[in-house]
Amino acid sequence: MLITMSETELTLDPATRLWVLLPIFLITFLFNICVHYITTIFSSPHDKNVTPQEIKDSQALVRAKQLIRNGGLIPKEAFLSRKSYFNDPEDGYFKQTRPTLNMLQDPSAMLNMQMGKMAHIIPMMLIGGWMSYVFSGFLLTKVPFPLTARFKPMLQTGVDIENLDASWVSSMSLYILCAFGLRSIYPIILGETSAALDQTKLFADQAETMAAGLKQQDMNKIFKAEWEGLEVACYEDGLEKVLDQFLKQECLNETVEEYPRPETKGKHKAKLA
Amino acid sequence: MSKELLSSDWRLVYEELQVEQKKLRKNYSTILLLANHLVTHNSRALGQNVWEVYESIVLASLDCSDYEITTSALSKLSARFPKSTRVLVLKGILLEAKGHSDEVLELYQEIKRNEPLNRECRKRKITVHKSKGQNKMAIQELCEYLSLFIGDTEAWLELCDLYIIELDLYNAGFCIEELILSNPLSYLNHLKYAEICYTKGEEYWDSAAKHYTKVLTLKPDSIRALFGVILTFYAIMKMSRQNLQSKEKRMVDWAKCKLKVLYRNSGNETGCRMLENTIQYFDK
Repeated sequence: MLITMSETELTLDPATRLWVLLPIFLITFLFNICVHYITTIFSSPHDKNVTPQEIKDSQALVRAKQLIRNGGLIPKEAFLSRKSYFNDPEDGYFKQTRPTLNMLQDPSAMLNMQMGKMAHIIPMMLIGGWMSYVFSGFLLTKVPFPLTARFKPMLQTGVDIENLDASWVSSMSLYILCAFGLRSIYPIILGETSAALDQTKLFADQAETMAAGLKQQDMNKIFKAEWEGLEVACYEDGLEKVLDQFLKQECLNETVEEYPRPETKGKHKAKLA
Repeated sequence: MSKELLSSDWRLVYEELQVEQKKLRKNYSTILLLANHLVTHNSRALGQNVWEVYESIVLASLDCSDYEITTSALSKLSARFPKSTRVLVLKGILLEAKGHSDEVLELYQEIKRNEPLNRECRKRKITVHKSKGQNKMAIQELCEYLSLFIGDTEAWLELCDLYIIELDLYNAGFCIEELILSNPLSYLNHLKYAEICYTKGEEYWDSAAKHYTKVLTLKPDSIRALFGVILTFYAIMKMSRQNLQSKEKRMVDWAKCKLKVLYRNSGNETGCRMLENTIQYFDK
């Protein structure tokens, strides 16, 4: 006679609640808090280190773009002097060369990234191994709805009983659920890093993030592209016809718009009286 | 109203404080009231944000010249962040308010040496120079600042004003050109540029005329530009001494009419009379 286990009622030892369920919660929680503090200790000094030169470069690129776009609004000499500041064959800004810092060649950037990842992965592996050694093989709880057998590998890691109902949750699965599911709780407990929006700081942050974004690229290539763009741009007086256009438009409007006419004058006097 | 607010939930008070701080024209006594209330009653609930509230207390109390509150808030801040430059700059501002400008300059110089990218301290240093009347020093510092942060338009404007005070109109013009490039649709930049060009002399009247016209296309009822148009085009006509029925004449006539309409609509009778006199003076 085969009696499948799903039909029998399983009773869990109350001691598992005290010695397995609560320790799993506590350990994962405390462990993640420790990881948070360790990473902040390691990563804070490397945050956004931008050199003055990088800020200067990123701002110069913006300025050159503006010159190409709006150069027609300033006098010709002003345009040309700015153009030569960037593109002078001898000592133009875009003729300068910058040392190429590739991600692969820059050991410090590589190291930082690796350190950041390692700080997460190694303790995760260690604690996971220890957890499976100590707490493996318990059944802790049962989800209150029936599940198909496909959920078994997800909910019953470490308990390989074929006939067991799929809605039982094993200790290892609960550990994995805790390790990932508790993430959104930490910002609430540890306090979000407060970021007040302030006009001046907004600009500062913009400039720095822009420079930091450029850091990973080859400045020489960007300079060359920008140099070409400026070299092609020639001066076009955007204000040459402004007077003619203005007068033409005003002549059209003249019939519509109110001009000093006797009637308005009369009206005004009446108002004053 | 504020008493009602203070007795309500602290989150509302905090929200109100943030709204007040984002305004361009801040009411510092309100900020001080709200922030003080938050710090005394809800410092625990604020969590990490409490330090920002302390910072706003420092700035607001300086504006209300209540230095006792400033020092107490500052001591709390420096106990929590002993190495922070942001707190150091705040201390500098307190020194500035008390008038110890030489000590402050030393302090800022030191911060600048340690942290060359700190804008706050550089800008404070420039203002100290400016308030001491050392415009040349302020210009020098500002140029140094701008060589790093070329994109800071407010700094360009400040430099332009300093150059105008020093009557260095060529460099002032350069600054405004920079502003026009970065924001070509702002009529204020064109207006300022036109005024500088007009003041520079005959050779530049042409570009002054163009920029005044540009202002009028962007903002047709700019009084300054209308007067500028009359002055500039009269000057050009006098210089060239030729066909008076030209575009320039039409432009001047248009500007006069427009001015008259604007003054009349404002309903100021003495203003209208003065305008008539001024126009007669121009005609001579």
